[in-house]
Amino acid sequence: MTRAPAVPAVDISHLSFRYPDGTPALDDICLTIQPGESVALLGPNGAGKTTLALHLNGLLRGQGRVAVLGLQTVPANLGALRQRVGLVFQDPDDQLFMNTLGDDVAFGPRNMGLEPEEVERRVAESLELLGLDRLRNRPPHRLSYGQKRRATLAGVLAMKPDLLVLDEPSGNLDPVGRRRLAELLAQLDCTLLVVTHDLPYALQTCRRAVILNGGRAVADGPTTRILADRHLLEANGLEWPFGFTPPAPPG
Amino acid sequence: MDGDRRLPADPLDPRARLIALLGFVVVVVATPPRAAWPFLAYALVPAFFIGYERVSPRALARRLLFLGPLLLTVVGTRLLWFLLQHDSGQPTLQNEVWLLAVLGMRSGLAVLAVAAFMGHGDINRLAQGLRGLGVPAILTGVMEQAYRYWRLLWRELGLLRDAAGARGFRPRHLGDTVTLGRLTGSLLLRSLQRAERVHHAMLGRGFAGTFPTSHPLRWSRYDALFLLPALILPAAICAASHLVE
Ligand SMILES: Nc1ncnc2c1ncn2[C@@H]1O[C@H](COP(=O)(O)OP(=O)(O)O)[C@@H](O)[C@H]1O
Ligand SMILES: [Mg+2]
Repeated sequence: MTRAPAVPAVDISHLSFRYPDGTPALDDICLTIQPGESVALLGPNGAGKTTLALHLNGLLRGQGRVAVLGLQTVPANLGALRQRVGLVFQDPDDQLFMNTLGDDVAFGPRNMGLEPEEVERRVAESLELLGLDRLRNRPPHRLSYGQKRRATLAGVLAMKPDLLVLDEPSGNLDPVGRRRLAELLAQLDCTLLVVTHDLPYALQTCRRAVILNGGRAVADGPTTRILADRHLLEANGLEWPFGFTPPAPPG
Repeated sequence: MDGDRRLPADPLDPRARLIALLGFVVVVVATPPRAAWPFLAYALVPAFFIGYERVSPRALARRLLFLGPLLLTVVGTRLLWFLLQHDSGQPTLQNEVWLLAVLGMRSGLAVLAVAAFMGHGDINRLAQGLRGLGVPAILTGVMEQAYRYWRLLWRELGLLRDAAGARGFRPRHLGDTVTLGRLTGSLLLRSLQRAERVHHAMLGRGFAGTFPTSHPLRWSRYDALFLLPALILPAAICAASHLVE
C-alpha cells in the first residue's frame, strides 16, 4: 500500500428508493466503482437498473449515500456533477429534442458555458467519432433508429464526461452497429457503466458485472465468472441466449 | 451539401426582428379605421419581406389558418352582444361588416407580419432576443418549454395515430368517439410522461433553465438594412392615412 486510494468514480452505500406512487425500486444498494473500470449492470426488466442510473447524476434521490466522482448528489453539487456524468437514455427519443442534430449535440457543451469555438470543435469531433458528420443539419426525428442512438451518444461525449452511463445501449441495434459501439466504448478512457440484459454485450464491453434483481445488488464480480454461473443467472431472471458459449470461468 | 456550418442560420439580430414586428403592429393598430386603403398598403410591407425571405407558402397558409377561429369567435360574441342588448340602437349591417373587415385586416396583417419578420422561427433565438430586450428569463423560459411541449404533443399524436391506424382504426361511426376520447386521454398522458423524461435528459446534460444559443446578440449593418424599411414604410403609410381625411 504505497499509493493513497483514488476517489471512487461511484460510491453508493445503502441506497433505497421508492417511486412517488409507492413502487419500491431500489433496496439497500451498496456499490463502489473505481475510476477507469468498466462495469455491466445486469438484470431483468424491472430490476431497477434505470432507476439506479438516474441516481448517478441526481435526477432521482433516494435514502442513503451516493457520491459520484467525489461529489455527493446533493443540490449544491448537481451542476458540477451533470457536467461530468454522461447519461445516455434508453430511448433516444427522450434525449434528442433540438431542431437539428448539430444543435442537439451542442446542447450539453453550451450548457457548460464553453466558448462558441470550443463548442463547435467538440460538436464536430463527436459527430465525426460517431460517423454522423454528414447529418449535422438533419432534424433528429428524421434519423434512423441506429443514427438516433449514435446521436444521443455524440451529445453526451461532446461533454467529455468522466463517467459514462449507457442505458441498454445495444437494444435494437443491428450486428454491425453493436460491434461498432463496442469498439468505440473500448477506445474511451472514462469510467463506464453499461446497463443491460444483453449478456454477450456485457462480456464484450465490461470486465466487471453486477447483477441487480428486485432492486437489490445480488452478485458482483468479473464478467467472465458471473456469466459462467448459469444457476446464478437463472435465479435472477437472466439466461444465456441461444447458441451462447459461456466464457471459461477464471482459475 | 449540409450548407454552411459557422454562420448563424440567420444574419439578423433577433432583437431587430422583434422590434420590426412590434413597430408594425403598433402602427397598424394606431391607424384609424376610416378607409381600407391604408390597410391594403400595409400588406405590401410584409409581402415584400415574405418574398425576400422566401417564406414557404405552406408555412404562411398554416399561420393564416389561425385567423378563421378568431374571426368566428368575434362574430359569435358580437351576435351574442346584440341578442343580450335589446335596448341599444339598431345596428346597421353595413356597420357590422365594416367592423369585421377592419378586425380581419388588422389581425391578418399581424399574422402576415409574424410570418414576414420572424424569419424561420428559431424559438430559442427569439427568446434570446426577448431577453435582450429586457423580458425576464423566466417568461422566455416558459415560452420555450411550452413550445417544446407542443412539438412533443404533435410527435406523440403522430405515433399514436399510426399505432391505432396500423390496427385498422379509422374514425367513421359515432361509436368511435369513445375510442377517440380514450386515444386523446392516452395522448395527453403519454406526452406528459414523455415530457418528464425529456426534461430529465435535458437536466442530465446540464440544462439550468435557459436554452443556450450559439451566437451572442450583436447588432450589425444587416439589422439596419432590415429595420429601416420595416419601420419607415409603415410609419409613412400611417402618417398618410392621418393626413388624408
Ligand atoms: N416513473 C415511475 N413511477 C413508478 N414506478 C416506476 C417508474 N419507473 C419505473 N418504475 C418501477 O420501478 C421498478 C424499476 O424500474 P426500472 O428501474 O425502470 O427497471 P429496469 O431499468 O431494470 O428495467 C419497476 O418495478 C418499474 O415498474
Ligand atoms: Mg430500464
